[in-house]
Amino acid sequence: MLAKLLHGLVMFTWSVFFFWLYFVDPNQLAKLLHPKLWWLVLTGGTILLLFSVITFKTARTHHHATPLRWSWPSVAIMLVPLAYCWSTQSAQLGSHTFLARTTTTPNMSSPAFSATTNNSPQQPMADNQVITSLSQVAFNSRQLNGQRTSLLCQTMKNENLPEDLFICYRFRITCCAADALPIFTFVQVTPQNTLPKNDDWVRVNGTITSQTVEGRTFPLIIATSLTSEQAPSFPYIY
Amino acid sequence: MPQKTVKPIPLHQPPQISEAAGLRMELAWVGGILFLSISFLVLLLGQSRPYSALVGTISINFLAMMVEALPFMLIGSLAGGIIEVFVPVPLVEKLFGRHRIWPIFATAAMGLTFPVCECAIIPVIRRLLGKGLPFGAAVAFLLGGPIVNPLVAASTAVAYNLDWQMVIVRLGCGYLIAVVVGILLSCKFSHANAVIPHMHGQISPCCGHDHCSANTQNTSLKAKLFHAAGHAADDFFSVGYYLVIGTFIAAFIRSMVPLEAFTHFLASPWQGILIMMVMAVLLNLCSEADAFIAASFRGVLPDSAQLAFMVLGPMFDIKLLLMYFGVFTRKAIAALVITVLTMVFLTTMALHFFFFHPL
Repeated sequence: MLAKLLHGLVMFTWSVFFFWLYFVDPNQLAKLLHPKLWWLVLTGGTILLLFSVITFKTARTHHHATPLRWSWPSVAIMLVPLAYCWSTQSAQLGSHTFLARTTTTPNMSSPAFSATTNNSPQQPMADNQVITSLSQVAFNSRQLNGQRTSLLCQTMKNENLPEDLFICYRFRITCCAADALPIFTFVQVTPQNTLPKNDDWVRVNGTITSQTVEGRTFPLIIATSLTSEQAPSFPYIY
Repeated sequence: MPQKTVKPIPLHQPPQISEAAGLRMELAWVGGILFLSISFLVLLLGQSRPYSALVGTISINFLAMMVEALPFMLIGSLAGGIIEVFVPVPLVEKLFGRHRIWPIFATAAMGLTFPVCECAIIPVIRRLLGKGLPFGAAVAFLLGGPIVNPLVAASTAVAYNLDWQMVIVRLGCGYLIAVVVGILLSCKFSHANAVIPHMHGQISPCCGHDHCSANTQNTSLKAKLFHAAGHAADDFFSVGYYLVIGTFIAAFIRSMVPLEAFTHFLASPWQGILIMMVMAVLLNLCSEADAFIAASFRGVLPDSAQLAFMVLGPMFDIKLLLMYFGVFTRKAIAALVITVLTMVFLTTMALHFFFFHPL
């Protein structure tokens, strides 16, 4: 009976956690799951609530074959993810994940990046449209050459990059944070701009251009201004 | 006065724990304590500054996978409970029980009408096996269901920019391998030697609740639904902790191992296929998301290697392996894993030389 009560309690705790994510802390949920799948959390919470009520109701009459002294670790294991919820509060996917999940970054110590690029951008286009989508910049930099842009992104800088360059990146997710893949552009700054710390959120205003390194073309923004920003409620690109 | 003999009251007797089951219980207990200790240590490590970012990443991946997978598993458990109470054994026997081979061809494609992901399929399989579904047919559904289904077809099409050839080849490959593995395993295994004895007890007609499935024929719909949910809750708990352990290992690997580590071994197609198969096992991605990861290797790896990743992932990974322990015997799991790995490798190699890059 005690084992069944514990099962019911674990399911009830998970149910409360799911409802809390959905109704009380959607920012935390946005860090984990694509919004198109949020219905799953609501469904999961409802099923768990149902299961826990039924388990409580049948606890007295159920004959459990496994003694509690053997089965308690499996009950505790079910609570482990909830303990990890605590450390996700202040965490975010950062430059470590960026480096681990990208296979397309060029050799950043390449001579092409070692000096200030001479790939001057064209004049801004007549329609004066400001591009705010990092995906658009990352995948269409040639077509958008010369356009103005204003991007909100995280930053990454390491010893392989020249002084005046950093990477501006965000993660695109399909289902959950575990399948997040980085999308990025290089940003060239003037000496007046103070470079932000790694993984800080910044708004980059500048002009889109591109740079060819080792036969591959990478987007590059010539920054006119760089301002620190708060992390957005929805940190990923969908 | 002579004593009148009274018949004993037919009380429910919980199944006796055999020596082998006791040993398994002790091993599970030790494994559980080990996992709890490691996960607690990692959590503690996250409190120190040098490791806080890494543990934060592990936590996000771990929790994200759990929050995504758990509802699917709950839905699967609910489906399993409904099968247990509403699908009579004679119906399953009539549909699948008379033949050993032909149901395999049907169940491998059952995902088309009953789309389930790999997290949801285990509880459903448990109940279908209990209802008398032949072992080979259950294996075919287990392997084919998470690939041969419309949701996976749609996500593959989106990831590959509506490249329908890749969609058809992926689903076709999944179906073919599910059928072949189902047939091969059904030659050697049956319920008796492939399904764990502990589960025989749980899914037998008298299941340990205060009812027998044989008696549910005359009960009301409300009572039946109540029983179905009771079974589902039990199933969820029987397999749930395997999901937690598997997901934790997957999150750990996903956070620690860079993708580039795999791209150093790509001198030939067979190396590419093998590496992508290793990645599929280690990364434990959902079958609806894995196409996007595979597609990110376009231009880096041959199509056959990307296909190996997309076909193997939904059939076998660490999380699934641990969940198999809640249903199958160790011998059956070993045979299943070896056959699946061999089939995926041979099929994708054949496709590489005869389809993607004809000699």
